[in-house]
Amino acid sequence: MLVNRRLMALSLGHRRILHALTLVVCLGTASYWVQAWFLAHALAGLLPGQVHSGAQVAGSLLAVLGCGVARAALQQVQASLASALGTAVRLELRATLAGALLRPERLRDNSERSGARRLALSEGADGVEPYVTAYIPHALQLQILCPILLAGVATLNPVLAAALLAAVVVAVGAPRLWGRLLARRSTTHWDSYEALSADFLEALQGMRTLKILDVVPRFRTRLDERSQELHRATVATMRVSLADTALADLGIQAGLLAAAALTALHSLGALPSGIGGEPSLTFFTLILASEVFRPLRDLARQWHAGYLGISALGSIDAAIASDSEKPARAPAHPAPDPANGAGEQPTDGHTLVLEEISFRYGPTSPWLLNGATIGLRSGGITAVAGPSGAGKSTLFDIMLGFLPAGGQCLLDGRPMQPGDVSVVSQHSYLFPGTIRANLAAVRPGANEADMRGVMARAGLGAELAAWPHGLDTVIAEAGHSLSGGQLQRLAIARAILADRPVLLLDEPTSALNPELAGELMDFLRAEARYRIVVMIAHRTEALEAADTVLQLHEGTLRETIPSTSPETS
Amino acid sequence: MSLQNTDKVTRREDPLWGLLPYLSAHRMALAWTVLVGLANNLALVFLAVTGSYTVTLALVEDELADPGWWIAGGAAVLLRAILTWHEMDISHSIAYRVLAALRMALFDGFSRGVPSRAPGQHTGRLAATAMGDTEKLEFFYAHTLTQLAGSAVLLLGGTVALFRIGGSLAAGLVLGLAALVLLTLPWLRTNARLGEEVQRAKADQSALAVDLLSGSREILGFGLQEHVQQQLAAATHTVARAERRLKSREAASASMRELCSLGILVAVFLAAWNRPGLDPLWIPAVVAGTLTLLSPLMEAVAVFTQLQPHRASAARVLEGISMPAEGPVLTPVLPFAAVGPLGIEIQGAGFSYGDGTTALEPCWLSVGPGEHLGISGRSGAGKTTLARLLVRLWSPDTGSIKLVPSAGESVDVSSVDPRVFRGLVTLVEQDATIFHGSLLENMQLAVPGASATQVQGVLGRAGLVLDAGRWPDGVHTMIGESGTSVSGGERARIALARALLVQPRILVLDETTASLDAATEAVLLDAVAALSGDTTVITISHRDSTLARCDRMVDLADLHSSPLSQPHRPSR
Repeated sequence: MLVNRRLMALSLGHRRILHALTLVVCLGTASYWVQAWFLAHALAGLLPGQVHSGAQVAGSLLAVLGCGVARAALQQVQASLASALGTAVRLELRATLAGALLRPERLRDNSERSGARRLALSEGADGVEPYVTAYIPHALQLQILCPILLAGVATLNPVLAAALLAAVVVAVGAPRLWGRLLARRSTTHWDSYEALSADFLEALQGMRTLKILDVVPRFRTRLDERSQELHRATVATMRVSLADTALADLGIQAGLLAAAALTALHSLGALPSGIGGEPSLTFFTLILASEVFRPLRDLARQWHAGYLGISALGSIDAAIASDSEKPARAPAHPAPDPANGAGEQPTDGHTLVLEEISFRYGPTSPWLLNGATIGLRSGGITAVAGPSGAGKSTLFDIMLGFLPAGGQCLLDGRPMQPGDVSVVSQHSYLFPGTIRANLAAVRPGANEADMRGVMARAGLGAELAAWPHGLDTVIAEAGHSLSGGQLQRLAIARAILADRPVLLLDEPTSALNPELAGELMDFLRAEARYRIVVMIAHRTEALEAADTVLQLHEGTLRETIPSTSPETS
Repeated sequence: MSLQNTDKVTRREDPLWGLLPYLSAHRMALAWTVLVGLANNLALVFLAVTGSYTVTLALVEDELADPGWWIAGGAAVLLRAILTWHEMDISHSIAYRVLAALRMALFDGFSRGVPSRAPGQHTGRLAATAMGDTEKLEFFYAHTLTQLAGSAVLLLGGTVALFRIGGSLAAGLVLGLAALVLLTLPWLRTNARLGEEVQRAKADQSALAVDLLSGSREILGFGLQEHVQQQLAAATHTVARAERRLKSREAASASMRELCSLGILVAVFLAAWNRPGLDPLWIPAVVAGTLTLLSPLMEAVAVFTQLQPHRASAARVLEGISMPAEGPVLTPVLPFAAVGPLGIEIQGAGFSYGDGTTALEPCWLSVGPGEHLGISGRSGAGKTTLARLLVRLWSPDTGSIKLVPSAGESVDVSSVDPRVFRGLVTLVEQDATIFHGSLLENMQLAVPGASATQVQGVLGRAGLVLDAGRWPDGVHTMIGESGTSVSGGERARIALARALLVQPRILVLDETTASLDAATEAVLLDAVAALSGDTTVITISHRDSTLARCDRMVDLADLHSSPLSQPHRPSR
């Protein structure tokens, strides 16, 4: 009842660590019970008429300190187990997420959601960790230890145990009565608060514009008013929803006061007796009564961890959910035919025919591509132009076989296979490791000369000579060690090395200066003799360097002569 | 009391304290939060004392405590519940107010200091981090600060109360806490370093996620999924390793705090036992009371060890809030009410950044009234600086810029009333901000009373036709919602329309067409060309196609030499 079932399921594969962790957490809490036993004896030793000697009291106090030391050791074990569990859960979750995200059908997501996907992969998985390693063990502890402790108190003082049970029920249950409803309402408020925060940021970043338009004071007043208004509304809502904390506290404190009263009455013989009677047992009962609430307080302290986990679930769901979406149409590529894949190279160049390519994102969305038809052959560079959002990237995804579209792509007269196409994105992915490993990943059989040759032709010859480790130079994580231009050329070298009949490039010169861009275009033109080279281009320099410019307009492709103005908007 | 001492030592430079003056409007509310928190803790101490006393009384004297104790106890339980609620309520409210106050102060700082004279300072990035930082700091000022203040009072009161029972009791408490602080401080630096390590690892991991998602086409195209999984796992391990070290240290310091508090408990216990004057009836009550008092103090020490990351945040917010004023030098305002088109006379105007590097060499230029002038120049020559000087975002360090009416005296731009000036001269920047809100609201920023028809007209003139597919609600279409973010071409046209709405007499365009395709560029330039001779236009661009549409073209590099050799051709 306390644990989200789906988040609990994430830890199922690591049950043994979770059980060990829960056990250690419980042992840590139980050490307070032992401590209570010794403290009660020490306290009883102070009372007049007791038989305890000074040495006994000192011994009890030392035992109290010993409990503290034992707990310190337990906490180290707990930290280490929690880390092991957290690592295992995150590794598994990330692998699942990456598997779900890195699928062709996910490419159709628009850029707005890619922020959410990044969140799922990084912060989302991290947010699950505290839930699994802190919230769940403490929730389990509450369910295990509270009944045990209540049973223990019941043997000492049955009436007190009943009163404590009632207090626990109030403290745990009360917040749940209306919590859910109010949480939803305050979330709405929180959302508009976030929106205001975004507006503030925008104002700071657009301050020059505000100054030029002479609206700084007006804008300030407006933001100030909105912020105050929202504050009033939010506080009014929060005021009610915060009452649950007070109710939980009321349960705990009333329970403790009742414990004092019932313990006192018990020692006066006014209640049906358990086994208690001696002063030390009376004190022990009293301290145990307050220990009943420790698991409750511990869990309350993990509220933040619980919150993080639940909210992470949202982004994780968003990342995995649309996984279940089924393609609306059959893919333009039929199932791969191993006998008829890449590597087969006619000597007289290649031809690629796109026939009546149609695509839209959903059954009600407008057609992004509507019967686009064109024939291409190797020999020159083809550029695809068109306003942003016209569907240039979508066309690439269809050619790559990632998106299900109507019509067909025919390479040399047969249906094109995914293995026929190599691609260079605007943001290239190179994994950390040597350049050699990155190149070999796309063509395992490539030898040293192949790799050096393609690097040199992509304009990286000088760099390769300058790097002390040559092809064994390690690309640091996230590509930090290479410049944007070097990264782009390396990605192009990789795509050429893959040696596939069709090469697609998305803005290949965007990170290069004009001189390097010119060299790269020459290289691509040379490559175009062996394969079909198609690039998405915006910049006039790139469009001018192309031999054919295809204009993507209202879902159709038209060939234009490159030297004239390429744009119709 | 060592808490207080360390505060004082660092107070002078500590940015956490440097932000306090900006919150002074809320000091009464903050003080009230401290009081409520204090009362809440006292109620708890009272309950602990009551519980132990009544039980001990029953044990030793065989009698039930006076009804007064039970009534007071019941009242404390209720009071405590109410105070708990009230404390959370006001601390949330204060947190929001602190957040709003810091944001407003940032707004004021930016309105003074943007555009900044410091060359390396990226104010946009500073804004983003500072806004994130205010959200982290909000909790510190609304809650942590009051918690620390409350604990200091509690410590003082507790020491005095224990001292009245016996000096050794008070000494036990103070010595125990001092030992705790002394044991804690050496851990601080390492913990802060480990915390940064964790943050760095997480940032790398997040960057990796971005790389993966933006490169997914290649990953799929070349079948690199296996490598991606390995890389993700490695990043996870790096984060987990750093976290593990940090958490184990944090657990150790928490254990140390607990051992210290047990030590204090034992010390108080022994001191109470050896006090012949103290009624044994009260000893359990004193021990229980001290124990309850200790827990908020321990928490305060724990909080004190976690302040380091807040300092960096406070420093960034403070940087934004206290940006130096970069506005024009104030000069006496002269009346200026010339009619007709205005020309510009730049006489040796130059500008350098805060660190002394030159942003614009002194230059000389005359622009005739109604002329359309194009200015080119290599990047870094100071084109944007010149634009900012022309619209008075900055004042030139040397020389002057004057408005030249077709008839009458010319007048220095800095002596025109600022409000009047903004109506005369305006600038369209390449990256002009289009604010979240409707198209109409954006246009009304320039002219508050502008009507929908007016706005539609001026947008049309700027080449933006509001077709129903793209702009379903016409001028009321919200920008920035459900994918209606504006493209570069739309942004440029909206910004131009907004400037046209001002009906300026001098319009400065700074690389407005830089990110436009040829067709959009032509539409926009048609709109500019259509401005009658009443508006003087200065077009700064690196594109020949844009400059070709001007009456006259100059290269910024040619303007630095001799003022007299400048060709001055009257326009049209």
